[in-house]
Amino acid sequence: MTEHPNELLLEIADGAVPPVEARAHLGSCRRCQQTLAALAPLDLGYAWQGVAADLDAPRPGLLERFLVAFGVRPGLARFTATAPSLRLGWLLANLLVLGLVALPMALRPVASAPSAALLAAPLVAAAAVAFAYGPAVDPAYEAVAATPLSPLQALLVRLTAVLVANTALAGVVDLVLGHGPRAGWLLPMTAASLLAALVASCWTPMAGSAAGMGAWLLVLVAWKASHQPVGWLTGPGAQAAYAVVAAALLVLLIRRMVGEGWALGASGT
Amino acid sequence: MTGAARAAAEGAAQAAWPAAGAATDDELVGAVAGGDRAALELPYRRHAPWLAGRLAARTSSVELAEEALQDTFLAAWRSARGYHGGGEVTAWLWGIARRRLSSLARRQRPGGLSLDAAAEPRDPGATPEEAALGQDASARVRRAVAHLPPEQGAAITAVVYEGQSIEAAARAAAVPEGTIKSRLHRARLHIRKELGS
Repeated sequence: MTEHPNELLLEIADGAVPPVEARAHLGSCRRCQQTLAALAPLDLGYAWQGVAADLDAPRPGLLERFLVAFGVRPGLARFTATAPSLRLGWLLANLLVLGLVALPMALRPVASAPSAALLAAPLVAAAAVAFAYGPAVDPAYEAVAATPLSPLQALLVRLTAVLVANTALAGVVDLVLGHGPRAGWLLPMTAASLLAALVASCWTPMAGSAAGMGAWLLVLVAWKASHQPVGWLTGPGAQAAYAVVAAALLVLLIRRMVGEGWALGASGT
Repeated sequence: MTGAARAAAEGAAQAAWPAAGAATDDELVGAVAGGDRAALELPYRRHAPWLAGRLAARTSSVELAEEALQDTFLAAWRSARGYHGGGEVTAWLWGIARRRLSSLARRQRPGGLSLDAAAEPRDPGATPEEAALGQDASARVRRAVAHLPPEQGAAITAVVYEGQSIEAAARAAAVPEGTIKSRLHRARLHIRKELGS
């Protein structure tokens, strides 16, 4: 078709389907497209921008949709799910910690005394959490700096994500090994991590790490000096004490965050 | 969005459209189904104009028609894998567009429907007989254009028959672009009325 199908353009603008033989011309002729755009009752270019923007928008991943389905705010879900630079470290750390715990449990089904690895777990956690806080060690630090979250809030979000995932994984390990719930080390680990986070946010990562590790070492020294059985360290009474300490530290951390303004909650996106 | 920003966006969209090939609709849908992001632009260029005309004829809300048009192509993009050919791509697209418009209209005004239950617009040239009818339709359109009020006829002549842009037509007639647009709009309604009678 060499001539422009002018009358057809008017009909198309009114909703007529172009005949097959005219489609190639209409698809390639800029003049006819310009005329169709001018005649269109809608802004075709503007509508295309909307389509293109939607096509180019990133699709929420599986983890993000999972978190949103469980009631996590979309902004927090995206923040938690989209940190690919942290994933390898997260995976390795989890494997290490769970391996350290699962291996002795598998070798010694009856925990007459806690293994050295189990006692060391809270130390590792406290050190890792404290040192994850700051530009020198955090691979996602620049990304966090560009979000409406303060670094402290980001740290707590990550801490929550890691501890929740750890608890679930530890539960699986317990079930697989068939000893019933033995993940008693998680509460002291949580308390030590929270202490490290709190102190690191007030002073330096080194101070946070030292505080978390020091506090747990003090507990261990006190246990050794008391010549008490393992129950003193891992029994229900001790677990309750860890829980109270962890809750208190969590409240302190949240109060500190509220002081900084919980930005992501305000923006809500 | 301001008129200038819309015009800029439109210009960018025009520039982003690649040169069209002679690919058939089925081939294009196949490429879309294969996840070819650029392959959606050609079907849009090919089918958005008549879809826009039909959608706009069925609702009084330009925003609603615009949203339905966008939704249609997004849905086509996502469901292209489920399209197995065998039918006209145009019928498939219009089916999606009609459903999108109804559901958008229901969401906007539950209970009351702003949709115009007008008869399906003409579909020229699908068969040889209809192609002959299509030539007849061209003559009827020409007659309808000849019967337009002078200002509307001048706008149609400048934009459709001389291929001028709205901007150039407005400059030549020494009126704002919006005036040309509204003359074109009224001319289209005139022509539709005359062809429908």
